[in-house]
Amino acid sequence: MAQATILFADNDPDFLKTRAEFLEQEGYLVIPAAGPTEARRILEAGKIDLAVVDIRLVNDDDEKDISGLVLAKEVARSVPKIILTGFPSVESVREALRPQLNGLPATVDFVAKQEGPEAMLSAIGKVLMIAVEGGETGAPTPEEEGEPKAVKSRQAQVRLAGGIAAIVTLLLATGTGIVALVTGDPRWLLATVFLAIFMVVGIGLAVFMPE
Amino acid sequence: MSGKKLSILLISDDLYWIEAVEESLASSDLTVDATFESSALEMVRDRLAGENAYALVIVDVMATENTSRLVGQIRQQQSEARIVVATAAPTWQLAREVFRAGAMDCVRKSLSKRTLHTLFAGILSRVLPS
Repeated sequence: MAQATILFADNDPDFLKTRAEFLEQEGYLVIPAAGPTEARRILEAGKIDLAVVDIRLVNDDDEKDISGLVLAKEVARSVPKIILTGFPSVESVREALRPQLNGLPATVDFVAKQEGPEAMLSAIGKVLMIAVEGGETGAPTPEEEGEPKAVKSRQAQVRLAGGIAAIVTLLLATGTGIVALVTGDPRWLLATVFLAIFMVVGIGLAVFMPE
Repeated sequence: MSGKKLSILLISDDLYWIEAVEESLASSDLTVDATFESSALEMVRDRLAGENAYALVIVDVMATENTSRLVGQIRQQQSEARIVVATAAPTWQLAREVFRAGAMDCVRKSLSKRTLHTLFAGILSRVLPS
């Protein structure tokens, strides 16, 4: 993957600046967001490979503030998100990582701020690695959502083209074969052989191209 | 539906808890198989081969040497396995580890049949076909 773009959302400006600089030093392009509204706007604009989101995006002293989790659940489901919090709890882990009704968790990982920047970096690396390998990130990647259908469609087109080519070359080969027999001209015979080869290739594509 | 009775695998060595879980699920028309960690993978594998895989696997943390490893091994055998980890002393680190390993939930272990009934009713509503 080229330089990955990370949305980093945290309402603590010092923490946001420090961690954003740390990630930039590690080679990531970081887009900071100081609150849920800004983070939502950036996520909805797209072009984010991964989002690191604080749970309490509005008020660090408010135990009921789960604006970051709400954001992670509601916005840009195809973007993998890591929850970062200074107040880890069993309940917040469950909310973040427990599979939802669609079978996927709201976020792909959960890191406590107290674990340090290396833990965050490790989690980011793992998530981006999985995304590159096309594995499960918890949320479907754009590739998972789009490419298989496109590949299937291309395979169907190839099968169809192979079938049409086989029929057309069969008709042509029959014609040139008759002419070759009647005239005894080796050029017509050569043309028949070439057409027969194309016909075999067409049949091969139509029959053996996977579904 | 094939008409087969759905089964739950309970991995625990806590006899009181096994009994409490069985009683809390008595009215739900499910069968509960209880086993130790040492036989758990074999039982999951056997059921999978018989095309009657466990609808839910409940893992008691106290009965395992390494809970997240066991969860991962079960998921390796049955990628669609729905695994719930139960512990009397949940921590956010343990919860994270078991979720990372593939558990669908991490819940507090209780001996109260009423609490267990409510807990499993919630879990089963997410697991069983409606």
